[in-house]
Amino acid sequence: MSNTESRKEINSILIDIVEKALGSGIIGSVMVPSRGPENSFPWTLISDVSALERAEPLPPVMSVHGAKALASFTQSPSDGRLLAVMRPCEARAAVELSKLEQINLDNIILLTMDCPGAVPLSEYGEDGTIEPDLHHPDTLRPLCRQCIEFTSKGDLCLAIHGGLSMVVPLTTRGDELLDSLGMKAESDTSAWKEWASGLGQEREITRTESTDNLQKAYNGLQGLIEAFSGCISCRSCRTVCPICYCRLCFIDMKDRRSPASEYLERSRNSGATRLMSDTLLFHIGRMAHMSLSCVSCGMCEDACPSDIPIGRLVSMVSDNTTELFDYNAGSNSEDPLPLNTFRLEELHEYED
Amino acid sequence: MPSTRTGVFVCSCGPNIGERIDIEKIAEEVSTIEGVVLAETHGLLCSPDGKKYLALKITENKLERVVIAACSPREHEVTFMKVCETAGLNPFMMQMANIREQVAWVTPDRESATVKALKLVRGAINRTSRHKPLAKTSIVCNPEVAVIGGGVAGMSAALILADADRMITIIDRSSSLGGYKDNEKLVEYLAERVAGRSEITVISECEPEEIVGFFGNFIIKLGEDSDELRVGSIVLATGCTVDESGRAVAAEGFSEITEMLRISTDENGFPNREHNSLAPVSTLIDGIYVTGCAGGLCSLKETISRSEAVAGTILSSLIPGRQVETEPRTSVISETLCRGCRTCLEVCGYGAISFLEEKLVCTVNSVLCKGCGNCASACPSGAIKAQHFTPDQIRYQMAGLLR
Repeated sequence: MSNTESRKEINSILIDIVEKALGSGIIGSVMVPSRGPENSFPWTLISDVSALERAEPLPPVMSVHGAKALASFTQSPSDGRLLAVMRPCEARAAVELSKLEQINLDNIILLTMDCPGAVPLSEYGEDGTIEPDLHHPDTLRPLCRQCIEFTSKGDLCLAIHGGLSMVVPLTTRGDELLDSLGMKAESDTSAWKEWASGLGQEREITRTESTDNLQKAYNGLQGLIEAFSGCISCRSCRTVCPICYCRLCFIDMKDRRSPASEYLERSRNSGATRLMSDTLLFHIGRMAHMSLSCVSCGMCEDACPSDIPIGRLVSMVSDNTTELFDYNAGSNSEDPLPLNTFRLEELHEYED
Repeated sequence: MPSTRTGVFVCSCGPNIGERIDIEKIAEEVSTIEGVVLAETHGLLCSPDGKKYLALKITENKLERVVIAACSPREHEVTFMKVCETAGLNPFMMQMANIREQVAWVTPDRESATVKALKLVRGAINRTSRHKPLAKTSIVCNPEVAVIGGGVAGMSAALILADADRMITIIDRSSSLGGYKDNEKLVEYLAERVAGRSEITVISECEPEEIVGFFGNFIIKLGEDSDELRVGSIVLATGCTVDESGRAVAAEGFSEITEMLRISTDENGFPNREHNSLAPVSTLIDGIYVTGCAGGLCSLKETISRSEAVAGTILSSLIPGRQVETEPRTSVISETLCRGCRTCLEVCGYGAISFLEEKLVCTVNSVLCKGCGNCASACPSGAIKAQHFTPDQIRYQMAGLLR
């Protein structure tokens, strides 16, 4: 079975499930990407089964992050039951955004799948023929190649590996949906779990290698300056990030701008000063703000016009910060956000 | 930077600062800074003479900003704010530079101490250029009293207060008044008298869910459906209980109340007092008093005298019409920038922030806000400003420090 077939296969199974849920009235509407003009895949909110014709639940590329699409209309609770079909990293970001009160998940069910990964936007040609292939990492975005959270996220997950072709419930909410759809199947998932752990191990190796390389290439402050030397300050990384939710970014705030006199003084003191001198501050600031909730979705890196490995850098920082607080972004909606949790005794190793 | 008339006063604090730092040099150096129209030293600014001198200099020189390089603001900020006020200057146009605790007492080398002190003073001067006058407001105290616990202690306090025409609400979690019925006759007698008083309202089978506010203005939420109770003072009369080892400990559920009120307790759960002998019924928070066994196991006689003391303290301090000043250095939330993530709600220790469901933004109750700044630093969107500690002011101070 080639991977091309499996993406198509996943799509058709997902559409079957969605059709059943929508047709039976158990679900009021479904949020899913649909095929648009010029091989684009905009997110759509479908309430009528007939509109599922163009649905493509698992597109080959990620153009708008699913959690961002969901957050655009669900800050207040949705009055009808909504099923959102998403990749695992999108479901995790949705959970993070619900903790940040940007998405109200009360009436929302998240359906994910064994994710094959996505093709880089820059390589997805106009003909739209390139397919993401799990077995050929070269076809995938750099962050997808080192992704270790490619399955079993959200409330339910469509399992298609390990000889399975079934929806596995992951939460009581997912359980209830399967129950009401009459789709509850008792099946041996051990081979599927074995597949996941095997691929996870392979990916861990890739991830460690990538981190080692990054650390070597961009060591210390000078390394970071080099890493971001090509940044054109377009802020695309921030725009596409599902977790960046502020109305006005700290970097754009008036309070942060220096008066002309300060620039002039800096220039007089050292002979010259760089203008638009906030590139590094912007990126370090973003890392500080986002890294605990970063789901390593790779949207930022896919959007960067200067080929900066921004996603891998933020993801690497995120590994360190989340480890510090023993936190895994988006994996459990019950875990409180580390920065909102007060503990009298913690982080003593950083004192003095 | 707009030039403003700034006066800098460097205090010698007797020998405390003067012996360790070259204060004359500091005055001389800062006198050249743009906007500084006056830079002088003084032997002891907090003395009566010093205060008079300061007020005179402010009016004589028509100062618009004042920087005082002296001790920690914890020591004398209030003192100097009052001097500014009497001299007709908004007290928030004054900034202290702590060159005693942060320099003189910790930096032995005179030369480097002078350099460090100069940096702190420059920072303070720079900061005042971004200061804005803040208005003090005051609100009238509510003379009503809530008594939590309807035993002998609570009832006897309520009856004395009722005799002085105060309105009292007794909140009790059981279905009838009485508490620990050691002396049934006394309990019956008190309950009968309470029932006969129109000044006393009894709410039974009820426990406070949330208490916010401060002396003169407490708001007690009793449950989803019931109205808020607004009072000026709270009496804790919840009795005590005995644990397995025979120790007298605070009643069950009392820790929830002390947590709500943010009052500290001892190892047995009883509230710490303002002073064990001088103020034995006052907790560490103004307007919250403790009587009977809620303050530790005591006899019936002792219970009555504690309640008399509580009632007396309330009647002499919570006088009808009295006004209390509210904190002007509060936080404000920009509705435009707020994303409604409610991080600020989690970190506010005063119950001062609420979420507006219809606008999906948070808002600060300026009466409850104490200006601690927790919310401003926690807000990921920079939507919250702590007035008088704005990013702009801190930035200017830092720029002055690092120059």
